[in-house]
Amino acid sequence: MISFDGLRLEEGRPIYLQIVLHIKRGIVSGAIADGDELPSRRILSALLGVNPNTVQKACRALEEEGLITSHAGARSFAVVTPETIAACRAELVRGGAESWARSARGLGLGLDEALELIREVWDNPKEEEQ
Amino acid sequence: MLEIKDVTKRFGSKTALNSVSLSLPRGELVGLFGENGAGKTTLMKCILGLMGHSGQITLDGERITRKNIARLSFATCEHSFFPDLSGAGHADFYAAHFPAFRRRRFEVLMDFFSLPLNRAPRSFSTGQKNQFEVVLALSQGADYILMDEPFSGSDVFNREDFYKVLLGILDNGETVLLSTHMLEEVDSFISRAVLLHSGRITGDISMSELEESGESLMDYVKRAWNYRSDRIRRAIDELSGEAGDR
Repeated sequence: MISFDGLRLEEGRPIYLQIVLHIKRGIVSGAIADGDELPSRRILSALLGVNPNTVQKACRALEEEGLITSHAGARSFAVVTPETIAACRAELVRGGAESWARSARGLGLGLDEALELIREVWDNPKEEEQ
Repeated sequence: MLEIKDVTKRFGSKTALNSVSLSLPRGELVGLFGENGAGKTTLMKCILGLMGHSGQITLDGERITRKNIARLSFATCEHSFFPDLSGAGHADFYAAHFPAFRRRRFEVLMDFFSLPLNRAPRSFSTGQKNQFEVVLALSQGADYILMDEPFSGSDVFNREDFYKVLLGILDNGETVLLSTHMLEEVDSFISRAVLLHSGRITGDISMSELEESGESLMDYVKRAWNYRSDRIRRAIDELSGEAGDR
């Protein structure tokens, strides 16, 4: 069963997108394997404390992207293939780059400065903060 | 469908509800928001027939009478239980009077709130009394559950967990109308927000619509109330002017 324990909902961001993102991260990290089952809509709604409409919207988005399939009895399963992993990874990486670029630009960095900074940070990674 | 059409309620010269119209279909979780004195409690009491009013309130097209009143339940901070009847006694009383009484749900919720079955609610703390009131409203077997500020006196953990349990137990056909000040606590839980201001409906929006607009519930509410964001600065400015005079 796919776990949602690690998902902390943030203010100011559509909740259905946060649910979708949680699944994509799980697919990329390997926490979610092919055929893993999603909790029922009702359970998920209760676990997260969000309206069933919101959960339904997230599931619909995941279905449209081919990341889950839904069967009779409203049971849904993850679709994890080399293709879905690659697609999710590309999207997550690009999203991270976009938001970093936005904030760097907002702080007045030019492209060359930004690239240099990335190179420097890339070569000297700080220990991840616990 | 619970339909409220053009309901007006006056107390002497004061207009508590001013031509309020609202439709509540089955299965919605509706937040009812408004300042103290906006008319939230009055609106609920009019729906339940506890107060006379002008205008029309119907349930699936029929006026609300003794015949269909059991389809509505009410949790009020004024409390509607019997102070000297134990929890178990209430279950028996409700089972005898409400054919759709949900005994299993009653037991689960009593256990969830750690409320004793064999003690009279007179001896409960204020928080426990409010919880007991909510348990009864949810267990009656009503299609429309009206809750008026149900969680005053409950701590934040109990409230948060309660919304989650509620999402897990409600049937698709059950409608909740919940009045509260705690906007940010319920904004992910509700499907629709209705705003009352000085006895009038000043806002009515589905949460998915609101989400698409990118506006938070708090900002929507403030905008609908013409909230003046400069009021803090003005108060401080006026006070500092006063201090400077001394």
